[in-house]
Amino acid sequence: MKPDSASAGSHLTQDQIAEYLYGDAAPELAAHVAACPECGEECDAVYRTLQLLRNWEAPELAPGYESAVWQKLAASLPQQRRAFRFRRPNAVWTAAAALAAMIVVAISLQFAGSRVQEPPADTAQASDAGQRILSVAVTDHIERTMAVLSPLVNAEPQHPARFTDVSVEQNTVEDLLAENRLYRQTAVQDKDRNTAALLDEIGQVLVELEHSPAKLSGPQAHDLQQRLADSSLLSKMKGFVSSNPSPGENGARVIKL
Amino acid sequence: MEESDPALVDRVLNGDRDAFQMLAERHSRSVFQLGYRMTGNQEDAEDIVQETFLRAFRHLKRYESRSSFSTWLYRIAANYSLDLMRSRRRFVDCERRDDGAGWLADVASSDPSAHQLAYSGQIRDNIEKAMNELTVVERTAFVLRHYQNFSIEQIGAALGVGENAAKHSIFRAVRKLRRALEPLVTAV
Ligand SMILES: [Zn+2]
Repeated sequence: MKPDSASAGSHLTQDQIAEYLYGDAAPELAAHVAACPECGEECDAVYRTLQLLRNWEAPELAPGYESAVWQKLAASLPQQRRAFRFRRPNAVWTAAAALAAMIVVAISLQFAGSRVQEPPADTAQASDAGQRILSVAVTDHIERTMAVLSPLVNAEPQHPARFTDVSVEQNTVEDLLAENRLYRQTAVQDKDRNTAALLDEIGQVLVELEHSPAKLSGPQAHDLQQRLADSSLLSKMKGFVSSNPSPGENGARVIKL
Repeated sequence: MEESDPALVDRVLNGDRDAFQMLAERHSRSVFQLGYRMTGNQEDAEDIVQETFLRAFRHLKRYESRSSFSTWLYRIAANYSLDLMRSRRRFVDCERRDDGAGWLADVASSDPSAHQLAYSGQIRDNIEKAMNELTVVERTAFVLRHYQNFSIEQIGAALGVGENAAKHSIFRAVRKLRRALEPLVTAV
């Protein structure tokens, strides 16, 4: 290994190796792999693992499989296509409506204010107001998410054979996740990259929690705890809340806009 | 000449059920394959095939031809698999004992001529055990990336998370699989 082309500190992480093997990595990484025997070897090993997995297929199906599928399917298909229903209308639409209403209020307040004192409000100001409103809504969302996650992080370490019941959290998580998607999307549209990144990270944990078993085994609970601790997600959330405090009882902060 | 998927979809939307039969027959094997890789179980894969086509039929209006019909189907199948595995694991995990170390030890001490075996039942067992160690989200992200060639963006959309989250689920899956299958890979 040449120290100047591939110093010990710059070996690829396991994540970067996966990224490299799926063709998503930056050219510098590829150059490093080409120059560094250690990383080259590790890439080969991961590549062989992925190849082994590539050959993993379902047991072979009988020749008439397709028509058997159709026969069974035809019996249960409705005669006419039904109108489609939203799976979880409530959480998403409540959050969407609340957010839309808050932005309308903020923008009209912005206009009302500017009519008195200022030359015509420009769009930058209006979207600024929208952003601050978003952060108020997001603060509320993050506070509720913290209320769900904190007990999990602070739970006492358990014996591996014990289970942590998270079924209660999971009910809330489904709603939080729906909100999270909406706020994240809005933050992306507003080009508020920090908020979007934080919500992205929160979403990752929520999805994991939503799809985890209702009772986490000791190692599973530990794994989740460890990941939350490693990512220092909760302190990032606290940081967001303290720099974007939620409105007081009278909603003074919203009105101030 | 074979009719294209979007043309068949149009016919179904105009009330032609036979066109849906053609779609179902055309894609049932690949949906089965996906279902199997998601669950490691033939019965569940069958269930996923049935439910995927039922949902596709009901929601066909929502299909937009800017993505391929098979990608749309795979997304439905992946979502249903997630729900299915999630409900399964609630029951199974409570009783499952933590035998992770045990099976790894078995692989490590296996016959040294293992490399001469073709893709054997034992390799299949080990892969399936390794896949079962992934969380359902990691497994879904990995299967969609590795076998269905979904882009990171498409995986994020299927899971309802951002690209970053989708990427990290894949990374975690690769890391876990690499660790779990190491004895097999070095033996080959
Ligand atoms: Zn290196």
